[in-house]
Amino acid sequence: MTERTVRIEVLRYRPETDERPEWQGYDVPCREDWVVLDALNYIKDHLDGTLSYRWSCHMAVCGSCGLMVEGEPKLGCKTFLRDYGERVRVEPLENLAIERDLIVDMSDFGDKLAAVQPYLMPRGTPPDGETYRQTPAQLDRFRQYSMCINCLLCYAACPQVGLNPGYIGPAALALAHRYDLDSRDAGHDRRAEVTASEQGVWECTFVGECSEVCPKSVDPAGAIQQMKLACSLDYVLHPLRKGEAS
Amino acid sequence: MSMARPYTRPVPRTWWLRKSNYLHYMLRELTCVLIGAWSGWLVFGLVALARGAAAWQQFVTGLTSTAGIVFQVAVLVGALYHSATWFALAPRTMPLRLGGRRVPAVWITLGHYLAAALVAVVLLFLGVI
Repeated sequence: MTERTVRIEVLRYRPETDERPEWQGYDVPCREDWVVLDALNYIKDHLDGTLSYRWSCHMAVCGSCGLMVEGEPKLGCKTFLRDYGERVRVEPLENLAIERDLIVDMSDFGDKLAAVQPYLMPRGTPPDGETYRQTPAQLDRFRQYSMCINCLLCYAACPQVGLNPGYIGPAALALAHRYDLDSRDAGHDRRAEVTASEQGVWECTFVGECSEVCPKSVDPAGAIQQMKLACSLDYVLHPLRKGEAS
Repeated sequence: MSMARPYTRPVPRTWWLRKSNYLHYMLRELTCVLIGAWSGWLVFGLVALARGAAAWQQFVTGLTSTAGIVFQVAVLVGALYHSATWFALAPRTMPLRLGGRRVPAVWITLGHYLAAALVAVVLLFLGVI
């Protein structure tokens, strides 16, 4: 297996000593099949044990190792170094506060995710002995949007997230859409209090980059545009529904 | 003691120059200005029409002047760019289904082009009559 030395430049931030993030370079002997995460692990194990970053599965499932690689949001575990030159810049995800080195603060995202109530809110329980039934066609309506791994690459790619920190953001809205589309769910109106609010889907201006960078082809941009249509129909039809109810 | 002191990087004003996709997005949004200006110009034409022959003639002279033609060509290019980008995005906003299957994205985009062509033909036909 051939080896080549790659200069990995990492944007480091140590809150106890650094006023602001600063670049630090490491010369890493990389094998041809190495991804960015392998290089970071080499640095941690052999060059500088103080480097901090998140990772877990090393196979694009856990969503922990989201990073900016040469300015693009990427999963460190599926970004091959052979696709880059002899110098590779690695930064924490854009638009998110840096906790330490490559670790970003995810607490704000956690709050936004909880705010959209991403769980089934069924109309009632099925009769005794029965289970919820769903046809393959009903499953197919939302399956794509259930593939999100919360890696936050879409938040790093979305300029609206950076410009308006209150914006609920692509992943949380796509997950809300996933439950809105589920044939077993009746929680649309409750979710709409957040998704149709000023910090919800209307903050999106359809840049579309969230879907471009998504490693799971979730297409949050598509989900949000479909939610805009649903919100608009709700707005028009709501008075009619009220009339039906009375 | 907590060491937490999160650092938030500011978003530079030139963020939209960092990626070609961001730049294309800004261009798409910018075309709205041209289309808005054209709409205002049409309203101005209607007002001129209501005010009488002299005002209308002045409006037509403006339309056929060099500046008027440059403006209209710019509006046409902007409108075409705007339409092409939105037609390309349309399948993501309206995931149609036929017989339980998703309609391929390219069909939806082509449908938009066909509808636009149809409207253009009808408008041209009405204009000729």
